[in-house]
Amino acid sequence: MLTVALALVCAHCGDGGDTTGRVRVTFPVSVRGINSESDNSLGWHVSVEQAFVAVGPVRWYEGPPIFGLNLFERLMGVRLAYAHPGHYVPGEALADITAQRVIDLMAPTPTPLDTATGVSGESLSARVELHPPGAELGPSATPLRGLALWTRGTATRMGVTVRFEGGVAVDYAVRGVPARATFGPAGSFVLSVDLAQWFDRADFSTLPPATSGEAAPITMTSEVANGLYRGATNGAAYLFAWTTGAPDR
Amino acid sequence: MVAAAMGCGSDNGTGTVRVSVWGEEYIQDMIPPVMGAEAGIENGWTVRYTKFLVNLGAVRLATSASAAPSGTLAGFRVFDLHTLTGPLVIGTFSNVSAVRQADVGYALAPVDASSSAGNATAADVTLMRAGSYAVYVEGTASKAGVADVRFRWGFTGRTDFYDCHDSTEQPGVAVPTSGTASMQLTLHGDHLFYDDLQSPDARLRFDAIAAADANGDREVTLDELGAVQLTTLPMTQYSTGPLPNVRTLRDFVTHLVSTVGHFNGEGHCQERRS
Repeated sequence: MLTVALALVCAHCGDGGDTTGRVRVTFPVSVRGINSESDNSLGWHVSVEQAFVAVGPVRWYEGPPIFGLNLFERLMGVRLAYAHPGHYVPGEALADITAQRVIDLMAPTPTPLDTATGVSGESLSARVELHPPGAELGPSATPLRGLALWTRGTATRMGVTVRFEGGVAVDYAVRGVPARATFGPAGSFVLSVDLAQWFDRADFSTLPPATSGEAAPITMTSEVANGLYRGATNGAAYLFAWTTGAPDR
Repeated sequence: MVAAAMGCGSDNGTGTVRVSVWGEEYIQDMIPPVMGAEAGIENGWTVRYTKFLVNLGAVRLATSASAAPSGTLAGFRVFDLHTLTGPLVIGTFSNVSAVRQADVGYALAPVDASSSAGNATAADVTLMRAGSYAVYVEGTASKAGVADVRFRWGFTGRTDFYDCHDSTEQPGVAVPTSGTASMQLTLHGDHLFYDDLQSPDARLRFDAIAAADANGDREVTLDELGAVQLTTLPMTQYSTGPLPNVRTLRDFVTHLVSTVGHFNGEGHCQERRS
């Protein structure tokens, strides 16, 4: 099911395309975690041992992203969306995935999310939604404990080690994420979730240090939960990479 | 007022571009609380500026970013946008080619010895120069049942606003043959109170700023804002998006200052901070 906006883009698309030259496209999307070990901006070395997240829906747009131009794009005059509040204009929707999937971000290879459907065109940005798992996910959602994300790991700073485990109640659409691609006959997206960004603002000194090996719970009102929420809803934590051509089998 | 116009005519002839600066009603009068569907500040706060000083210059008009300027106002002048009752004309470019002049830009920069008074008083210029401020604001926030909260904040960073588009996403201005186009450099005073650096759903708030008054003197300083880590605020407020070095309320407000520059009302510009 595509959005109203997408329907407007391609109101009369058949398999052979519409009067604008757009044709229907499908492409696989997979998700992986990166940077399971990182040093955050508060001086903590964070080592993530477990990370699950419910991803979806995802939608791609013609509108420029809020941030993230590379040097070449700057030199070529590619514009950003107006990088301040209230001014991101996604433009026309080109493709989407409406399903939600639970992703194990520690899996050794990218986990298939779904096959996106849409129309050909130039994608510049995306919207990545993070919500508590729906009932249709069944047992696959068990690791999430009813939340959109759940993590476990250790954080170390100046000789103090904190074992942590928990999640936060994210229910959020991350908008304006850079997602550049030319949707055509064949291609695929890999979405990398940057765990270093998730934990960059987490101050683990507000959790009790590890004593008996038990992990300290990330309570909803803790500063760690607050920092984790800010990291998980930060567009910089989501990196799309498009590959033209058939995906590797 | 020095307006350098370097238009060289075209098949369409030439026209005039009138450059003005304005802070609209939010800076002139007040930013009201949310009232039904009308935009405003959450939870009943009203903000009234008593000063909104900017050191504005590097005004540029050209047919494209790579073209020689059709008009410039290179020097920087200090304006108090609060005292304006409408757009203040700060320059006129004559004999500009009557085509779309697609490249519009300007800058807010720290006051230096070369800056002069626009409509600001000599005392205001002295204040700006003493702090090397690019933007300085004073004002009061009020809310029923709560003592007023004062603020006096100076910001030293330079922001260049470039590639300005009007509210219909057309770049720059279309100069009419033998007519006059408006190039209004519009500053949005409400931006300092947004609670998100990237979300289209950002709201205007003052609660966290008022609560930052650590010494209880009913004046919130930038140092007091700097003592408030964003992770101590409600997690759904004051999101920084992808910006890595915004950790405190002071960082947050300072970043928002670099978003105040607009064009012809609700038009937008790209921003470059330095």
